Amino acid sequence: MSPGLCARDDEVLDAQRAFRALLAGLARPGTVARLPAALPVPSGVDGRLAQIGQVLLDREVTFATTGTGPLARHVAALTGSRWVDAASADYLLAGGERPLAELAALPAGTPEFPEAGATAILSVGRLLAPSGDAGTGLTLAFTGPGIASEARVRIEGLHPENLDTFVRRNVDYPLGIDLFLVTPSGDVVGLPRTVRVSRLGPV
Amino acid sequence: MGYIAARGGVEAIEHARHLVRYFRLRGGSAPLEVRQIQDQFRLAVDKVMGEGSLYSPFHAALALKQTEGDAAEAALMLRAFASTCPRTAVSYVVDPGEMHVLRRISAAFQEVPGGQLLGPSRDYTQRLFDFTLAEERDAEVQAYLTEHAPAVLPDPRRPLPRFPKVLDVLRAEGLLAPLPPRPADGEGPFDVTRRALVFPAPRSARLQTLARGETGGLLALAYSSMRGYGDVHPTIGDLRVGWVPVRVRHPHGGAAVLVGRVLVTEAEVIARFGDVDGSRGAPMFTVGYGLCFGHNELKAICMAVLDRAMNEPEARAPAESEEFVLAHVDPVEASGFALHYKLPHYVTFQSEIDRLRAAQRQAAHREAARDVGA
Amino acid sequence: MSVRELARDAASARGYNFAYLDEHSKREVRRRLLKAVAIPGHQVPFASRELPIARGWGTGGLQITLALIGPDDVLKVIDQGSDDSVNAVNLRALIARTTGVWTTSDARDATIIQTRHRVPETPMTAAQMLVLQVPDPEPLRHVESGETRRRRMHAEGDYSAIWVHLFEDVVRWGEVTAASGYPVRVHGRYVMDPTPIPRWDVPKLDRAETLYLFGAGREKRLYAVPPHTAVEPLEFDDLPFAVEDFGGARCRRCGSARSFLNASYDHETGERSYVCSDTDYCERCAATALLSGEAP
Repeated sequence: MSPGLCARDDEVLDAQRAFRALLAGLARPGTVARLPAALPVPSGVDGRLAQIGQVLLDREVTFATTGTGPLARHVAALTGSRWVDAASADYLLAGGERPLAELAALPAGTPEFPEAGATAILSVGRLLAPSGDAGTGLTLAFTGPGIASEARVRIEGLHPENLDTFVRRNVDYPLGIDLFLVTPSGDVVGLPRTVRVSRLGPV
Repeated sequence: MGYIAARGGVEAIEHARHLVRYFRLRGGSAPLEVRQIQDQFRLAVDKVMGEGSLYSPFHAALALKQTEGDAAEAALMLRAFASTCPRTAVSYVVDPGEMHVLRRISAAFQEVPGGQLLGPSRDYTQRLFDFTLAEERDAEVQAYLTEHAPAVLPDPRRPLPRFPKVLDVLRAEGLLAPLPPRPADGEGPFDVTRRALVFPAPRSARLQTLARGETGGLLALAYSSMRGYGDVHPTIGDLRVGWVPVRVRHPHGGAAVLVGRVLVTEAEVIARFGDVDGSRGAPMFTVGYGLCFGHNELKAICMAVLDRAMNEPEARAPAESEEFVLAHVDPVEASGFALHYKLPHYVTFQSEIDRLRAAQRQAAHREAARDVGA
Repeated sequence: MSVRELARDAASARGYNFAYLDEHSKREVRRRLLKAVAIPGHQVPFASRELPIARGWGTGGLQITLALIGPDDVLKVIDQGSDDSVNAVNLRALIARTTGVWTTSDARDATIIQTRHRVPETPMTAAQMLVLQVPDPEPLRHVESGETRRRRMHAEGDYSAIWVHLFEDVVRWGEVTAASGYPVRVHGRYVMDPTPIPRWDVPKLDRAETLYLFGAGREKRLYAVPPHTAVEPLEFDDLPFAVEDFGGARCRRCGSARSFLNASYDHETGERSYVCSDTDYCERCAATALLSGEAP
């Protein structure tokens, strides 16, 4: 086995832990999982989006971002993945606090190949347990596979339109897109296309 | 119960491993040198390289030594080893026109441009035992090489002979459809080891799967096509064995760099004519293509026949069905699954026994009901 | 020295990447697993790698485990319910050698259990994952031999062929004769092959605490059942799904009548008796019975 093939060992184990967080999040929507520390990134680049990009992207898949800024260049150089238009991308890496036309454009797969539906990874402000009072942000209740009865999360920094787009893209199961929300502190929530969402607040 | 006795499994495996080594050595004969296998079993080595999908005569020879000549096991070893090798580059498309030809025959015409070059072939010998081989000695071998090698080796001062392709001649005469356009730059072949294959398969995926295919499996399917489960009627336009140069792009500067030569066998087969895309309504001959590592004429010919058979618009026989052929020719998949039946299946079998007893009870009830009714 | 450093040193000392697979291969498995979890019961094609273990002998389950496993995991590997079955020993050795993880036979202590043909008798928790080795991922294989046509059937949710097949069984034999690998419907949508687990184990998949991951290395498919997801065996209203019936037999070693039993024939006397297939459960059961003086 050529030693030159492996990434630094820390990177190998960090990628494994990061993947386990993504898997845990997606398998139990609404539970908040924790990513390990992210590597430093150039300015203008969201470190958490780059971190998840590094876990999942390489030459075999394509990705989109909003515009072709530092994030796009950094991720392409880091992973070898090709930057493309959202309409043909396997992955979308973007900030979630502004409405994303890209989210509406992502492929949703085909009846024969529903797994070709894209994965969107959006950065948000915070992921919290729902608070007694309304609090800021969207308070959501989730039901569906992975959830015993219901799971609730309060999300700050996700534009409500993005949530609506996500729900709309997934009405035709098994077609659809899958979503990860990640915060600067490394909290992550996974929402598979099977999840049912109701908005509890703000009213 | 010894097979699964608590703590017995590990010991049993250890003993089985010892016995493997013992059975390889117990004859007491001189240990085989890997070099001997590479040199004197070159066709076995070539077969394993093709099926193992790794061009390395040394590793193929070592695998044959380690597996005591079990070609399926040897191919598995090469595949697993190849899996661990880093992919540092994708070569430029190899041009078979640059082949240093060792052997070249065509069945299509009595004389062909460039001529027929028989090369090393047993095709023209009688299959009688040469018992002197049982007594072959080092001294004789050295004497033989000293005397005959100079006449066999090509004169480096003379340019390599060129052999124009018979298919190109047919194209020029309008009997074969023109070649399709080359894929755009950057659009590489489909790699079945890096992307899951789904049907319908791109042609590069088909050819790659056939190139990795087990010679016997390909033979059975191609033979079925030749015998009437299909309608290919192949004529060999060109069958070549020789070394082709492999070049990659230098990472600094981008020049094409020669990294070595590989021995390959290439078969171009002309099949019965039909209406062909790109021929503007005129009937044309159709083509099958096969290329594999090493000197393996049987495999290249069968590849070409199957390539052509799978081009039939409607599969009326197993060899014409891409789904059937591509799913069943891989040596590692096929042998692995066939042999996996050796694994314990007692839980599933217990479940089958339960179902059989239930069905027997049902049958008994029906018998009883019939007797009552009678 | 941390467990992490120990693992790293153990792996690199042998010249292997941690968990044997290169990062590119792990990435492919990881990507596909996420899609599998998002679409419960749907077979996701993946670029299955070749490993130094024969195809058909667990390379799919192995690739999943190697992509998941970290130095803090505790690994259990079973075959037919037994930790000491030769193939389980071999797989466990490969994984342990290339990761340095702790291995165990105790189903309560493991964080990852890789299994062939059984779900452990001991109920699994949310902190654990079960990785199942799949010989054939396709529940429709015996009713439709063409892969393209099968894909269309799954796409359209058209499972009439398999219902007809089950019905013909009942007409012919009076019973559904599907023994192990009983077809199930997942999340009300995809019909899935749960691997050749006995019918005994099928109810354990339904609305479970645990994530189930399925790997078919030779056929190059991954699929998954998330926790708390409906997994329903295909059954007729008037012929409900039934598990195996051991006719009141008990395990010769621990006395259990509540576990899947294997018949075995004494190699000297030829006498038939039954033992638990799940050896870990059996040992614990026998120990409990010894202490309490009662059979479970």
